[in-house]
Amino acid sequence: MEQKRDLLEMFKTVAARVDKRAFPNVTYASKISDLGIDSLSVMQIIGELETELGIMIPDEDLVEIVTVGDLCKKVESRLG
Amino acid sequence: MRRNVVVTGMGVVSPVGNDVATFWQSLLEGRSGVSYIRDFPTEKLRSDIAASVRDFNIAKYMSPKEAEIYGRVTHFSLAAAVEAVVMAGLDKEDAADRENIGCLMSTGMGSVDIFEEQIARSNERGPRAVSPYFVPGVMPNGAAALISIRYGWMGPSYSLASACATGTHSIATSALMIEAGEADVMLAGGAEAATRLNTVAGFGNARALSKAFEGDPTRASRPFDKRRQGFVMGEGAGALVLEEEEHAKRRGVPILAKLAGFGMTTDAEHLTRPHPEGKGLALAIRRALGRAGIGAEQIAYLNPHATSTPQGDLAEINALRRVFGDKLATIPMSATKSMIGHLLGGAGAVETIAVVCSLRDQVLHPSINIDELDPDLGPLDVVRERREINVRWAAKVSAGFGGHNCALVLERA
Repeated sequence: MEQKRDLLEMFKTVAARVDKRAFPNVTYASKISDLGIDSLSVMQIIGELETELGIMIPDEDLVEIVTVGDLCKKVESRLG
Repeated sequence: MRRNVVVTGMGVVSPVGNDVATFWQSLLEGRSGVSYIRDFPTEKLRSDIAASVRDFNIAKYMSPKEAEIYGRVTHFSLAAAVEAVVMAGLDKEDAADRENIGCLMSTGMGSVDIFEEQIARSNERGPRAVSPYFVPGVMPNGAAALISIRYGWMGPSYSLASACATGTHSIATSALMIEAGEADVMLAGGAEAATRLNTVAGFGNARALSKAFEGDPTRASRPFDKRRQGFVMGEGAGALVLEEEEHAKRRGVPILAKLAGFGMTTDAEHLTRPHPEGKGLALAIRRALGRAGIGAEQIAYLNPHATSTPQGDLAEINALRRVFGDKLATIPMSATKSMIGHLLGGAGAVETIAVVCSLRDQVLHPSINIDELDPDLGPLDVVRERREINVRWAAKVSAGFGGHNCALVLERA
């Protein structure tokens, strides 16, 4: 769980950097489409996470991501 | 009956002022915007000077997130467009039918800064670090799209490129669009913000750039002077609101000048060198005069391309003499680039705005840095100090790498 909490914080940090605004209330259950982030910016966040963590999330995983938790799980599986 | 085209709005970002009033006042005072480059190391470059835009604040026009997506050239384009739109009263709700307003805001080189940054990111961190906004950020039509979105304009919008004639071609093509009935109003212009390490290296290695003249950057851009060495890179944007004359009258907005004629031709001879006898450029001027329905003898002010390169200025004077003959010696001309450098894709638009200001105020701005007129150019009336005039017709001339020529004839309102 320690790893997961870090990823949520990391998501919020990267999202804030990309979208130039804070995301204080985001949880694992938050739907990414509800965050008001443009679809290209979502891809920019994913690209930043991939680059910083040295992983690659394949396209087939991307289509399964609905919530922030989904994204964190995909990231975690690649870190594993 | 032909639909006539008039100018009802203008906007400028330039090395001598970030609005039309400041820009025009600086030109009248003969103030140079050229200085040493401070933004990147220049010790290995063949030139270390440029005319840069100072104190420009993009936060007035877009959010920090948007500002990061678009290059400096798009920032300038938007700022110039906003000033022109407000001047023409087009920002007001229901000012005009938005389905009949178009936008042709162009750039010669595009977002060189974004290209450099994103390629550097990819090289350093890998391709996954490249922004998904890279492509919309660098597409040359980005400014036209952004401006149309901002104002809800649904007429034709795109960008065109003809190197250093881009701004002038955008004006001419927009006028054609209005004449043809494709739009009642067009926001037309050009912009450039390409003063980056690699572009200065490229132009410098092509031996096209001037260095500081006797240690003074402000004396480096010296069109028609005997000791001119090359051009100085400039940056900025110019935007004009062009409008069908009756449409402007119905709206009751001030008409700043009339765009009486334009001509567009090609040298079809060499990629970078202008035709030494100026054949293509002369043809463009003749076509512009023909379209305006006037003779060459009626032109009473010339704003030439005048880049300050040894070959370019000579070829241009040859072209002008083909059209105006010996009378060329009596037509006042002033080179805007002597103060603001060469804005490449923005040059024609910004310089056309100087011509509109000249016709509106009936005063000519000087050409600076002429210590001794080049005798090889023959007799010329180059304006050295601001001059009050009584001018009805003026011409603006531009020529770009690729042999692209464009001439405009403007008439006092």
